[in-house]
Amino acid sequence: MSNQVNSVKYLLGAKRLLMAGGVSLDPHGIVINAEGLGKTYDGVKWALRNADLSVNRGKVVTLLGPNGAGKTTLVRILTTELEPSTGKLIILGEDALRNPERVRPRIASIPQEAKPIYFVTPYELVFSYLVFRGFSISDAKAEARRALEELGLWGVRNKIMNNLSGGYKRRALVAMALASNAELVFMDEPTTGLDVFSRRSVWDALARLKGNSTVILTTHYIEEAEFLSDEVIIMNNGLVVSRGTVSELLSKVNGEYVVEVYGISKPIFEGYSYVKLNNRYLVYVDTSEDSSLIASECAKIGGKALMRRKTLEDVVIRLIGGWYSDEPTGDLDSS
Amino acid sequence: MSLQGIWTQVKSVIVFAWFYGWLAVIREPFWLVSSLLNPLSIVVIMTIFGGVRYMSFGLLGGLAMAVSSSGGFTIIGDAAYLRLELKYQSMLINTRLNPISYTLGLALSELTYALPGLAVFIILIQLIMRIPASLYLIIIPILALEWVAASMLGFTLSTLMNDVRYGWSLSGILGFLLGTLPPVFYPAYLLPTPYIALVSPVSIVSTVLQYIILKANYPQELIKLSVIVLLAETVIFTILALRKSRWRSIY
Ligand SMILES: Nc1ncnc2c1ncn2[C@@H]1O[C@H](COP(=O)(O)OP(=O)(O)OP(=O)(O)O)[C@@H](O)[C@H]1O
Ligand SMILES: [Mg+2]
Repeated sequence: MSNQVNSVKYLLGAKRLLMAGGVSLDPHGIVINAEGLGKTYDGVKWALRNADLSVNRGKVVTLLGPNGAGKTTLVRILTTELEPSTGKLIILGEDALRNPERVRPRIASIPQEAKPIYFVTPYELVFSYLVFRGFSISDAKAEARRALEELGLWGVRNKIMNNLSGGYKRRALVAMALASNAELVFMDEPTTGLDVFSRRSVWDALARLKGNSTVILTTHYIEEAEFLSDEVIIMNNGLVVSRGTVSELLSKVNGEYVVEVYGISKPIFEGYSYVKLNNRYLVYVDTSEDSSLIASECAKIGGKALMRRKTLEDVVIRLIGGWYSDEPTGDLDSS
Repeated sequence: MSLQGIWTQVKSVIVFAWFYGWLAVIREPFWLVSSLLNPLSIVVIMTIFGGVRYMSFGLLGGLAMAVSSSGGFTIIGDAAYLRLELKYQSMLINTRLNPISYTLGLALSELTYALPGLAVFIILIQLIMRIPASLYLIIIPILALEWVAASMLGFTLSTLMNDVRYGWSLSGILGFLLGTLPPVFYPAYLLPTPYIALVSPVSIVSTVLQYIILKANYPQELIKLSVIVLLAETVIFTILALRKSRWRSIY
């Protein structure tokens, strides 16, 4: 209904900002523009530090990083739900810190720890949410039905939440955001706890949403991040450590294949890049022949090896985990 | 705000009440009973010790109390639960709802399941006091103001809680401080000065009801002041909910 109105408003908003000499932005392209965002909950530790961010329209951007990295903190600030301690934030051409009420109706978000009201059905949950978003009653009914069908929830539309399993509850929440057709959709770990089939139905729904909507995701499932993201932002310790397309990030790690080795007392991978992580070594090689060779060498000295393709997980490990060396050094090289 | 915008808000409030009130009523009917019991138990005790004369005061106080708990005091617990436990408020922030329509939606939900209890009070009051229908033209707006004021205050307070358990206990404490301790169930003229009734919206309403229904002996000044204070509280608490409640989080 109001897409046109919204885009006109958006243009006006962006223009105002440009004229006011605010953060400069391309009115067509950039939906999120953040500068120096920071958050401390207790005044001592920074949960998010000095984050700069710009996100283009129609993209799927995934936040990746270990527990406590600051992903949820960043998402909550971007949805205008949490006030940052520092920084500037322009969303959809509006100053989201000064006028959050102008951007809020154009955003949909599913928080990480959201739970559905327990005495209602998935249909009632999605339908009412759409009415709150300004849909007419008939549009809300139609879109609720479409989203529930898309996520395989139509069959349980009349069951109350209390009688549904955890994965179904999570899907009902995801259906809310997907049905919204909002310009900007945030989902904090939407697929956590979902089975292999329903995860794929969420992926399909996200693919449909893409193009019209910009999606910000967080996930701990690496293959999901690789499969869905136009851009990945890797965070650690409240900092944005790195960002780029999946292939740009993958190129930060040498090799194509990875051999994960454990059960050996010292590394025997001279000439290869490797990382030590707790008691295991991750060795990066270029060919599958090399990985077979390493695996069999390790087997000879009683180790176990697992061969796999290089993934974003290795980028995360490379950037924020273990230590990394092209040549083994120090006491590890005592042979 | 445009007419269209207002209609969206009204529609949302009604759908909210259907969703969170009516569906709860039909699926969890035992809630109906609990909202009635607090005020009714006081009426029972008053009637046993004071006789039928005090029953009238008790019933009017019970009505005033039931209206404020059907909004404000119960909202504190519910709103804290929806925000902290379910993160529902965080989701609804990104909709067209604002703190006022959200609060009214919640309050109308509470009212939905308090309705049978309120009906019991009104029927008893009607049976015993035989109020002329025209008086309801004054009674209903007064009760409505009380309901809005209590709800806005309740919501604002609930957003300051960071643990759901505090929300539930604060509802109880406020119910006592504002709904039981001041002259709600007993006439304010028993106190050194009846102006003490002005301390709480609930006792204000109770006092006004006693004045217009029971012809209780209050200075006219007090009644005028009561209505003014009630109006002012409604406006102030609404502005507080809009500007000072934590619609977004700080933690
Ligand atoms: N409400 C809060 N009050 C105080 N500290 C908080 C709060 N929320 C998060 N933190 C702290 O902020 C840091 C970042 O937390 P955040 O929830 O953003 O991490 P995350 O990357 O989303 O982690 P996860 O993968 O576990 O969801 C953590 O150190 C956490 O303890
Ligand atoms: Mg998180």
